[in-house]
Order: sequence, then structure tokens, then C-alpha cells
Amino acid sequence: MRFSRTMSLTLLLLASSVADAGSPRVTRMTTGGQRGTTLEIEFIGKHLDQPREVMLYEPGITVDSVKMAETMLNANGKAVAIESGTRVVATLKIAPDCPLGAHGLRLRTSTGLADYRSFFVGAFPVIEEEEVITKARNDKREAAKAVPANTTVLGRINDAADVDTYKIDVKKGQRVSAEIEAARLGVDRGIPDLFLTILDPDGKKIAETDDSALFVQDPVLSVLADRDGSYYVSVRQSMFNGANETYRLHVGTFSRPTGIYPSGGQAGTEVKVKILGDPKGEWTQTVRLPSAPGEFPFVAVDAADKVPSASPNRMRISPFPNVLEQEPNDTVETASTALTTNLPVAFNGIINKPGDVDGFRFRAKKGESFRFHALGQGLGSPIDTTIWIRSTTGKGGILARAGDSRSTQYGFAPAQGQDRILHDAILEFTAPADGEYVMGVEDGQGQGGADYVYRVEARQDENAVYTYIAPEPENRFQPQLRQTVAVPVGNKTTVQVGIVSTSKPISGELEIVGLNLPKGVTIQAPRITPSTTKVPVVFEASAEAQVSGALIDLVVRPVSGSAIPSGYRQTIMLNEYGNADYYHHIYIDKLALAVTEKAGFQVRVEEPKSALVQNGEMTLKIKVDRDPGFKEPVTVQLEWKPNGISTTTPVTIHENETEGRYLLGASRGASAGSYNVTLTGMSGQALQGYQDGGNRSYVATTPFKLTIAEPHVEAKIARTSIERGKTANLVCKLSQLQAFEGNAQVTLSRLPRGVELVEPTKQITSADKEVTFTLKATSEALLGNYTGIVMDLTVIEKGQAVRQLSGNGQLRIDAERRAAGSQ
Amino acid sequence: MRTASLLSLALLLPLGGSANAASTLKVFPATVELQGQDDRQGMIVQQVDEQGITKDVTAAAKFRLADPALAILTGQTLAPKKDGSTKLLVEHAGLKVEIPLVVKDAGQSRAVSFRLDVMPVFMKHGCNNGSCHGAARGKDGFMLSLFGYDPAGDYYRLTRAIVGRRVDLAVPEKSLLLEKCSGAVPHTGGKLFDTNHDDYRTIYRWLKAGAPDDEANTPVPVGLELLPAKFVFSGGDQKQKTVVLAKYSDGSVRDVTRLALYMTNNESIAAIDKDGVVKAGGRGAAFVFARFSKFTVGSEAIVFPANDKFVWSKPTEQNYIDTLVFDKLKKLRMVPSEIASDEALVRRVYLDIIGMPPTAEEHAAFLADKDPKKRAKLIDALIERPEFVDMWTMKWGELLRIRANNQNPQTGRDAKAMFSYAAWVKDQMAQNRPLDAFVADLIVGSGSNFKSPTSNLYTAGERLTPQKTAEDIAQVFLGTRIQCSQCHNHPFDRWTMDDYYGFAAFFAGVNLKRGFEGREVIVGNNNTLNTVPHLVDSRAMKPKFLGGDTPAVDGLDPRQALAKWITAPDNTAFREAMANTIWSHFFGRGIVDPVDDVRISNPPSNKELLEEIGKRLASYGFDKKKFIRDICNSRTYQLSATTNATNELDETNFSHSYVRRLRAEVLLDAISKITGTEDRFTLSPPGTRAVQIHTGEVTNYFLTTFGRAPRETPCSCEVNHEANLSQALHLINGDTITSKIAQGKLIPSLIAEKKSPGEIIDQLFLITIGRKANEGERKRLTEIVQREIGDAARIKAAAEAKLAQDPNTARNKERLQQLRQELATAPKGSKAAASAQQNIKVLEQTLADAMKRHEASAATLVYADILWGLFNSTEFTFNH
Repeated sequence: MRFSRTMSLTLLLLASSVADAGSPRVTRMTTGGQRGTTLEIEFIGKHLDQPREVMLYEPGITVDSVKMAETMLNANGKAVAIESGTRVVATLKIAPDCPLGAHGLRLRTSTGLADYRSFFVGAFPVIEEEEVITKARNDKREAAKAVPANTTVLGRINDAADVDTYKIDVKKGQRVSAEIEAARLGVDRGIPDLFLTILDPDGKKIAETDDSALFVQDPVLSVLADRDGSYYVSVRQSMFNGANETYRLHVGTFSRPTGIYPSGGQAGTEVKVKILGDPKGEWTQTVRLPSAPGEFPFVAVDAADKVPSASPNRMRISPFPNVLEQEPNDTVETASTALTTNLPVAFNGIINKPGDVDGFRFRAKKGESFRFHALGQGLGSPIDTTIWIRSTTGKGGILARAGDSRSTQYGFAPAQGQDRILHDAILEFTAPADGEYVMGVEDGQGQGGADYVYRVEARQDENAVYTYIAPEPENRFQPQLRQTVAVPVGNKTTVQVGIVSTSKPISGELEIVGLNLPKGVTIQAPRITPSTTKVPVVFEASAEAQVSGALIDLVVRPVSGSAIPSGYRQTIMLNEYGNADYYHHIYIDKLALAVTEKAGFQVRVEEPKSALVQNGEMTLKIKVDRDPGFKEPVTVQLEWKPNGISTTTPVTIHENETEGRYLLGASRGASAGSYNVTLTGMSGQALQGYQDGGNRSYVATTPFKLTIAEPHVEAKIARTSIERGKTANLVCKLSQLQAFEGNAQVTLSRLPRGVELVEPTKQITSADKEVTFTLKATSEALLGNYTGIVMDLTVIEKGQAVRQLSGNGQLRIDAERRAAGSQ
Repeated sequence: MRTASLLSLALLLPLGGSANAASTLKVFPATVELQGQDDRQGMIVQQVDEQGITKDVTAAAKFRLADPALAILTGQTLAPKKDGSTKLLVEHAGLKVEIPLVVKDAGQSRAVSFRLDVMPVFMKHGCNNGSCHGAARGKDGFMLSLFGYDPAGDYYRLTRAIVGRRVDLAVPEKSLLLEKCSGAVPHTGGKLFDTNHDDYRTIYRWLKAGAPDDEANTPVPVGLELLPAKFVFSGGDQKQKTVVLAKYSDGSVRDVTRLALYMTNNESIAAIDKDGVVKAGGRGAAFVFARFSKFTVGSEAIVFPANDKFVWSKPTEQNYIDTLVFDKLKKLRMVPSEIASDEALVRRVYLDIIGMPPTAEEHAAFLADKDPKKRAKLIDALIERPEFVDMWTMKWGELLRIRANNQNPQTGRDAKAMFSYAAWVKDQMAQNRPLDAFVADLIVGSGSNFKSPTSNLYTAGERLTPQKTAEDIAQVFLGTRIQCSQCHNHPFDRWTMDDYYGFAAFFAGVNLKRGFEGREVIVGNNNTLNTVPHLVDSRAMKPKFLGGDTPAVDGLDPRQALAKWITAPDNTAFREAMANTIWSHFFGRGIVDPVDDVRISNPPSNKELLEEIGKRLASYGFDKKKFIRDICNSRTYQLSATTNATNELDETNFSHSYVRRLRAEVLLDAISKITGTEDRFTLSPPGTRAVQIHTGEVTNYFLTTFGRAPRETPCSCEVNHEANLSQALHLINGDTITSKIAQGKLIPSLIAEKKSPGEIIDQLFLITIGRKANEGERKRLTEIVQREIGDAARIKAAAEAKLAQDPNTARNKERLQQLRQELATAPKGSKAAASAQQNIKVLEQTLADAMKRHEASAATLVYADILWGLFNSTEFTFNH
């Protein structure tokens, strides 16, 4: 055992000294820390050699150092060697005023970018569960681990039946609150779905819950202590399945609002927020909102002891003012006329009992288009909004109604699995006449309650276009794979950029622009036409560019005319459960880009001189330039293809080769035109299925023009028959579509077995109207009717052979006729 | 109630054997109305003797018309002659009966009708059944609707679908329709009748008339009657003719004896031939049926041996259950078994009520109790135990299909929702929630499958269509399987396609959407969508209660009305289905069996009893516990499993306790409890018993082998009580019992308590099969124990043999040898020698300990074998 371990280590060290590629992958990470502290966090994964930076998506955290770990401590506290590139340690400094909650980050190495991960900033000191599975289990109340109030425990569910119990001492009238961060931490596969129970000092269960509206699978509980004493909080798997789930449990006397009202306000204003769902009763807190619209993490802080809530409630900052409901507003008639407003505004209310309906009056002019976005579940409210609009005169009944929304309405490409924001209604409404209207809000399931808070943002409807990175086939089961840009110094890389427009199709010509690009990095992107859904965008790092990283934006702008709302919007999918069903979606608006160390190779392609004709084929000549010492194979393929273009499997150019040939085919329906395309070269052999997991660098060729044209000639092959042992003529009628110079070589392909051409090839010119082939059938020719014979034409154009297939011939093969009188 | 039961007793006395009522004569039908020239009416005469035994005296009886001018009497058949009223006088053995007779329209001949005359011929001769032209694609190019559910379609296919030979109006006798039936041309179905057969003439006349379609106001059958309603045969080989009357929508009544189809539910007790003649067989009760148009009706036939020396044992009746069961037994001339002993009963009630065998202490305490009411006391105590709640949670889990997988990829079910569903059911059972309220909550279930558990009623099906949902709900809550009538009128029951689609329409608006997260499903109802299309003509069918009214539910959730209707105390189908489901748990079979297959052709074995328990359950406000108390305290439930000469063949009338194999979960829990071991099931917390497993798809070899319900369908048949070979083999060879005995602390603790072999044997008997070993058993087993463990040398040999098989021991021995060698070679007094010596000492001790352990286990082995034998006995695996 010991021997083989040393062996494998040596081998690995050898391997890593030979080549560095570009697919760092982080599978686990330290889950969080307390604000106002400096701590070391660990990234665990593979291909993490030469870590350079921890890229942070939100402010509040700074990074002091990043370095690769060479050893780790084992259970006995001894340092042991570990595989190189599997562990990175970073020192983070979390500011005292750092916003609570999830912070997105990514590890950058000198060769690429690792997966997006969430790091949770909390307000309380962090302690560890320290359960010893075989000896000291804290399964039962008697063995509960005592923790001080307002603590965050890092715990682990060791096996399906594990129960982790904690004890806190509180005084009568104080809250016993608990909140779990587990599913939110995000894993590649599975859902850490935990269950929370609170027991009183006698061990009697006083509260339990599996889920919460706030955090879906992550439960929260808050009850009042009815006496002084030790209360118990226990955590277990909600379904007694799965193991090794880690969690952060916040436990203490903090207030854990299940809702806040209103759940948003106008930028830069002061808002009085009602705290809902506190067992001590409703109270208010005033907050000054920042001046930039967006999302704001609101933290309730108990006025008495200044203890903040364990994690924030989500709040919206809008450029327009709030309108708060005034009950009764259950009908069109009772909706307050005093609140009749011009748009844009944000309507706020609570569906406070099952069956409640809230109405708001607004004015609109004929033809004005508005977008009503009902925010409920998206802000952590239990409400499943349904909204409708009718005229105050009642004319025309309900004019529009919406219950759910589509991800494209948010500017995100549809993702696998459903996120709860899609339960928030988005209604696009164009006023049919000048007048007053009522917008109604209901719960689609007829439910209601004190924390069924909603906020309907009503603003001018405008079209927006967003970019994202469209998934490659290989990231079917690893959705984050290649959703960043890693461009080696002095090289190029191609990213498949998807385009999403929020409401209507885009019109006019648009261009893609990269913002905040590091020095030396440029992009080349084709112009976008209204039908575009995906384009190849080439990133190039000059030879002088520095190895570096940046969070960039990729916006779409009209080539002429005024700007439209745009930007990069990517959905990070986590917690895969079942078949490609993702339960945790994080929406990010910055594209991570890394300029990486030299790849060791470049790929070039000879631009085709002639066009690829429909029904034709073309061979591309590929050349790999290897830096000295780079010995890996390189696999090349065309990733983004115009419609109707097919390719062979990726071509691998082996260690001692520098050239390869790549065959392209065009169907008859391929859209004629000129396209800028690139080939992608990848270090290593062809992909090993979906779970390849290899360490690869990707580079691109210089974009080249691929022209798809009409065929030169179209053949109609006459139906004919042949007898075994005899010859027969087959006539191809030609219609000349595109003139060519000189002679072209023609032959017949896909002939049935036993049928041969007497003359293998013939020559035609652009003027020929037909060509006749003589066929010979041997005695082995199989009898019957055959279809699928094609004319195979090769034109030499600008010194390059252009091959094309045409026609669909039918041939009947008959048996030998017996000589007369032989009977 | 008391008066009522006294009254019924008085009425039933004649059958009790001590009666003196005179013999009577019954003539069927009791009144005759002949309408139209072609009407005929056959008559039958039944003599009922003082003991209630019936005899067919039709042939022997004398018939005479008071006014022979009005009708013609040919044999026992009446035909009209002239309009008017008179009487038919029937006389036999000195008994006389007068039957009123009315003749109408004697001069008028009714034209042959396709629906009234021709279609019944197809049914009678099986032309439109599933294996012939009634198949979905017809046969040999000709299709009829199955059992004639679509007369208009049949008319079209016969006369219009293919122009040509099928119907030849010019030469009717050359129509293929007739030529095929009469065998004139080859017919896969063979020759059905001759050209002079009445049915041939019917079709011929219809064709001759130009094969007309019926007029819109052609009467349709609205009812059917099979007479006599009851036969009591004394001795086999007795026969009884029957007469079948169809009632039509215009009020007319027609003798369709010749056109009806006949069936029996027990050929060996009462057979019925194609002409409707019933023939008696062996002892017992059975039903014979007649089917005509969409109706099926039945009559009860009771048979007992000719010279039966029946003496009623006059058992004490504890409650109404006994009264009604004993009434039936008296009719069948069966004597119930004796009441079970305390020893037998205590095991039975523990297993039935809480799904656990009694412990030795519980057993002893019950036997020692001198209170005459101790049985009732025990039953009360057991019903309040938490395990009782688990039993019924499991039962409902099966009926409601609490199972994470519904095999539906679009709207899959998830284990997470099943936790809340199962927890809700358990809570309902723990509260003893009235069954009507419980069911009503389920039927209107809406909302998230996580937060609103009842919505899971609508996520169970593999096809989430209104039709499938309707089928499941009818089966579970009304005990009726309406599946057949999705495609054709039910062949053996009253349900038509209209009934089916009307019932399905209650669920037309049910819709599902994905919830907060992917595993969550939200059930809603679209109140504007309250109809389903009829299969035949796409008519929009509105919600209609099964066999009931059409509620006004436009724009409302019709499930509200349905819940109210289903659970109404006067809905006999619901209350009887619920009562019978509970009944079957305690008797191993329902009064209607299977409990979810109530249909006319599957009648209850004791109709009065079924009706009464339904009424009682409803009158108790659907309090399940109260009703279970009635059952368990009845003498019927407490009867012994030992039979007597009169009831040994009885399997349906509850004349003795039926021996039932323990259900899989109870059996496994019993074995685990006795051996003191614990099972671990996936998706369940530690300490979960098999009965408490909340979801259907848990895989455990033992439970699967012993027939745990996979909960894939709502069918009561999913729980398998059958004993089979793989079960026997698993008990003998499988690892469940052996490893549980080995893991368990039972035998070591008995030995540790220094009990004598006899005491240990008794204890083992007691905790497994609920009795002490009898003299013979104790003697033999004690001998074996003495032989096995009384001889120290024998034990030593056995332990050594075991030790030799232990690889650790082998390794230790090898090492010991090595150390001894090292010691021999090492210089005396050196460090190496000291260490070797020390190690030798440790190893020797280890080996000695192992030997001791094996000796101890050899001593326990014989008891383990006895326990193994007890587990393998049918006395253990069955409740009796």
C-alpha cells in the first residue's frame, strides 16, 4: 500500500512537469466564514496547479494570498503529502461591513478558470461539529453538543441515519432560531436536503420543518422559549438517504424574518421595512437603500441586543417609487382611487389570507406597452403570483393575465431544471385605450398568509438582448465546463455565444462588444442578424498580453441607432438530481476571462479558395505548430457550424504529426452564403464521453471565410436496367447551375455490388447537357431494384478540388435471359 | 335495533329447523301481461316446503286458464289470443295459486326491431363478445360493438359499412349474416343455429322487412329480473328452471328467458345451463346470473346434502355480527366452530390489531386474568396502542399508493412528498379521524405535494388522466372497478360508458404543475374544464355521480360535490366498501371478496351482514375503532379455527376462523421482535419496523418474497397472502432467520438466566407460536437438548470443529508456532525472547477465549435450531 502510493505520486509529479493544460476544476471548497475575520479557505479539485487568483463577484472580501497545498493534515494531525494540483489554500479577509450571504468566487490558475462557487459570509463565530462517527455521536439529546447562542456550526451528516443535535441555553422569552445553509452551498450532484427540529428542555418537540419559502430546501425555524433552559436543535437528512452532506447551521436568538414588507424601494430612499414571521411579533426597521438599482441584502437587526439575522432577506432597489396597498382592495371597485398612479411604479402588498385579491389602479395611454413583473417566490416569499389587468370600467373583462414567466423574459437562456423565479408572473400589457386600469394580484394556488409578500414592478416594456455561453455537447453533465474564456498568450480561443432577446425578436444589425477586457485581449465576433441564436466569438491574446484575469461583460449593440439594454447573463446550474434536473440556479452577469500561459501549440487552417457547394464535400487542411517540448496530440474540430453543414469526427493530429485533413459536407438545404468560422484545437485525444474530465487547453484558428454556394451541376439520372453479364448505358441529364472553367471529372458512386463502370471516369464541360456512362453487370450482381446511385462530380477551382454529389438513380438488375430455343 | 333483530329472528325461525309452517307454492312471474301477437310468457312453479327447501314442480303442476278464450297455453307457455283480463290457475299437491293475466293488442303484430330483437341474438350467441366480433378490431373483417354498447354503430356496420353480401335485402336468406350463423358458408365461429331456429327467423324477418333501423322512440330496457330469486336445494342433482323478465322504458315487460345469457359464480354448488336451468351441486351458497342488454341480475342458490342431520348448536351471540352470520349459517345448515381458547385468541388479536405477537409476559398476564370481560379489555387496550395506528397507516398507504415512483416521467413522484403524505395519513389514523372526513379531504386534495399532503391522491397514477383517476377512486372508495366501461358497457355489472365518463368528468379539471423545486408538484383544478368526451361519440360528458345524480358544478371544482356525495352516510357503496375493507383485515376475506370488486356478478356472501356493517359504521360517524371493537368482540371473530363436519368446506360464511398467512411486514416484525434484532430500511429512520415503512418501493428480499404490496395499483390484490415455495425456501435456506437468530440476544440471555431446557423450550414455543410445548414436543426436544449439550466432550468437539474453520484462529496458531520457534532460537534472557514470551502468552489467551466462545455458541446452537424450527412451522407463519 505504502509502496504503490509513493509510486503514483512520483508518476504524477513526472506527468505534471511535462505539460500544463487548462481545465482546473474545483469540486469542494470551504463553505463560508464570519465577517470581520481573516481566514484560510481551501479549494479541493483537480488540475489546480499554479493557482494565481481568487476572483470575487461581489465586494466585501479581499484575498491576501493564494497558494497550492503540498500537504494536508490527516486525522491524527500529522502532515501528509498529497497529489499535486488537488488542493489550494487562500487567505481571505472579510470586511466587517461585508454584506452577509452568498459571495460568488472562482479560482484562477495560470492555465484556466475553475468553477463558480458560493462562499457564505455570516455574522456569527464559526465552530465545528467535531462528531466522531464511531465514538462520540451527537445523535441524541443526551449527547448534544453545547454551543453558545448565535453561532454558526459547520456540521456534517455522516450517514443516512445521522442526527446532529446541538444545545443552546436561552432565557424565557428569547427566541430559539435556527437556519441551515446546505442546499444553497451548491454541489455538482444531489441535493443536500436537511431537516430541522427544535426540542424544549424536556425533549419535547416544539417545532420542525423540512423546507422554507426563503431558501427552498434549506429550512429555517424560530420559536420563543417559554422558560429558561437548554433547548435542542437537531439536523438530519430529510429523507434518511445520502451521506456526507456538509452544512452551516446558524443557531441562536437572532430574528429570522420569513418575509419583509415592502420587499423593495426606490434607489437612494429611506424605507421603513416591516419584519414578518418573527415569533416576537411584527416590528419595523428603517433602511437607507443604495443609489444603484439592483438587489439589496437586507439584514434584520434586533433593536434590543443588536444581533443581526443569520442571513439577509432579498430586497429590490428600483429606479421608480413604491405604491403600498391599502386594504380593502379586493375588487375593482374597492381598489383605492387615491393610489391611482402613472407608471412606472412598484406595487407592494401582502396576500394576507387564502383567497385574498389585491387591486391597484393605474393610468395608461392607448398603445403604451408595460411590463408587470410580480416578484414573489423570486424574493423568497411563499406566494405563487397570478396577476391580471382590467379596465376600471369593466369593459372587455380581464384584458390580460399571467401566472408564470419564462427564463428568456429575464434575459436568461432556458436552463435545465426549473427555478422558482419562473413562478413569478411577468405580464406584457399594451393599453387598448387611454384610461384607467386595475391590476389584480392573487395567489395562483389560492393560499395566503402574513408573509405572502409581493412586489409588482410595472415599467415601460423595452426589448433587451443578452449574451450567454451556449453549452457545448461535452458539458451536458458538467454544465460549468467551458463557460469561461481561457485564452493562452499569443493565441486565440473561440466561445459559442448564445443570444437571448427578452420579449420580441431583435431587428436590424447588431454587434457584440467586450467590455473591461484585459490589456492585449481583443475579440472578433460576426455581426448578428435577426435569426441568430448562437455565434462563434474569437478571443485573442497578443503575444505581449500578461497572464491575468478579469470579469468582463459581453454586450450587444446596434450597429447603428441607440443602445439597447444588454449584457452577459449566465445561469450557473448546481445540485443535479435525477436526469439533468438542476435544483439550484445562480444568475451571474459577468463573464470570467483568463489570459493563460502559452498553450504550447497553435492551429492554422488553409482558407479554402473555393466554395463548398450544396450536396458537396470539401477537405480543410490543418496545420499544428508545436512549441519545442510540446508533444501532446492535438484534436481539431469545427464547433460552430452554419446550418446544413456536417463534419467528420474530430481529427487528432498525433505527437509526431503536424498536419491533418478535416472533411466538411454540405446538405442540399445548407444556407448559401459566407460565414466566418474557426476551428478549435484541443490538447489531447478526442473526448472520452461526457465525463471526460481531462486537462485540456483550447485554442482557435484565425477566423476564415467558408462560402456555401449552389452546386455547379444538378443531375437527373434516368431509370435503367441491366442484365447480368451484359452492359447497359445510364444517362445523366445535366442542368448547369454555376459555370466552371475547363473540364470537370464525373463518375457514378454508390453502385450496387457487381455493377461496374466500363470507363471509371468521364470529363464534362460547363456546356454539356448530358453524360452517358456504360455499366457492366457481372454474374455476381444481385438481382433486384436499387436506388441511391449518385453522380459524383469534381471541379477543379482555383487549384482546389471541389467535389459534389447529385441525383438519385434507380437501376434494375435482371437475371440472364436464356438463349432462345434452349428449353 | 333490538326490536328489529328480534323481528328478523322470528321470521327466520322456520329455517332454524324447529318450525311448523306449511309448505307453499310459488308461481313465476306473479302477474302476466301479454302485449302484441308475438308475445310469449313461460311460467315456472316452485314448491317451498316447511323447511324452506324449494323444488321445481313446473312439469308436475297443473295449469288452467280461467278464461281459455283469451290466451293459448302450450305446455307452460302463454300466448295471446284476445284482449282482456283473466287468471291462470296453477295447482300442485293440493296447493293452489292464481296468477292475474292481462292480454293487450292481441291482434297487432310488432315489426321486428333491430335493438329489441336482433341485437339480443348477437349477445345470446356470443357474436359480440370480446373473442369474436366484439373484439376491438372485429373478427374476419366484421366488427360489432362489445356486448352491444353502440347499437347505432352496429346497425351502421351491418347495413352500411360494406355494400354487398353482408346484408342482401333482395334475397335475405343469402345474406352472409344468416349464411354464416346457420353454417351455410364456413364461419370461424361455427354453426350457431339451424334455419328453423327462432333466432334465425328473427334475423330473417328483419332482413325481409328491409333491415330497418329502429325509430327514435323505440323502448330501451330499463331493468331485468331473474326468477325465482332464491333456490334452496336439498341434495345434489336437483334442478330448477328460471324465467327472466326485461322491463322496458315504455312500461312493458317481456319474457327474455330464451335470449338471456347465464352464468354462475360457483359451478360446483349451482351450475346453470344456456337455457337457464339451475342444477344443484355440493353444499354451500352460490349465485346464478342472467345477463340481457346492459343488465346483469342474480339469484341465490343454497345447497345442502339430502339427508342432513343438522342440529343448531345455539351459540351465544355477542352482537349483531353474530346474529347475522349465524342466520346465514342456519340457512346453510352449518354449525359454527367452538369459540377459540384464550391461548389461541391472545395471539390472534395481537397479530391482527397491532401486528405483533404477544410477549411471554403479555401472554401469561392474559391467561392469568380471571376477569370474565378480559377479552374485551384486551381488545380495547390493543386498539389504543401506537402499533394499531401503524397497521392502518400501512393499510391506507397501500390503498392510496404511497409510493415515490409513479412511473410517470412527466410528473414523477418523489420520495420527499411521500414523507408528508405518509405522515398525514398516520396523523389521521392516530387521531382516529372519521373515515368519511379523511376521504373527503383526500378527494378535494389540491396544492403542493409537499405542503398539502392530500394533493398526492392526484399524483399517484402512472397516467394522470381523468379516466384513470376516476377508476382508482371508484375502486378504493366505492369498492367498484369501472375500468371495463371505459370502452364498453360493463359485461358483469351495471356500469355503462355514460356512467364511466360522467364519473371521470369530476377530474377533468385536475392539473399539475412543477413547484418551488423540481420534486414539487402543484395540483390545481381548472373549474372551467368540467367535461370529458365520450369515447363513442365525443359527447361532452358532465360530472355525474356513479349511479347517482348530476350535480350543478358549472364553474366550480366538482370534486367538492363528489367528496360530499361519496362520503355521505347514506352512500351505501362507500360505507359498505369501508366496512368491508376493515372486515377483511380481521377475517382474511371480505364479505364481498375482493373488497374492491363489488359487482352484481360478485355478490356478498352475506348481504344482510354487509348492509348492516355499512349502516353501523356510518351510524358510528365512521369511527373505525368503534367498529373494530364490534368485530373483535363478536363470537364470529373469536371462533376457533378447528372445523366440524358441517363447516369444514366453508370459506366464505365465517363459520370458523380462517387460517391466514401473516402478511410480509407482520411476519418480519414478529421475527425481528422475537429475536431482538433490528431491520434497517432505506428512506426510514433507524428503529423503523416493516409495518412502518412509509413508501411502496422499498426493496427488501424478505418482504418481496412474502408479498409486500409494491403499491403500483390501488388493487387490494397487491398484498399477497398466498404461501409459496420461494417463501418456504427463504425461511429454510435464506439468511433472514438464520442471521437474525445468530445476531439476536434471545438465546444467550435465556441461557444466562440459567433456565432449564424445558423452561427454555416452553419459552421459545410461547413467544413464537403462542403456546407452550405439549407433552410430546417437550419430551422429544428435551431429549435432543440433553444429547446435544449434556455431554461436555461433544460440545468441545463441536467447538473445535468451528474453531478450525475460523481463519483468524488459523493465523493465530501459525503465529504462535512461529513465536515458539523464535523463542527457541533467541538467546535466553534477551529482549527478543522476552517479547516472544509475552506475545505467546497473549496469543494463547486469545485462542483460549475463542474456544470458550465457540463452546458457548455450540451450547446455544441447539436452541437456535429449535427456534429455527418454530419459525419454519406453519403455526408460526399463520394466524389462526
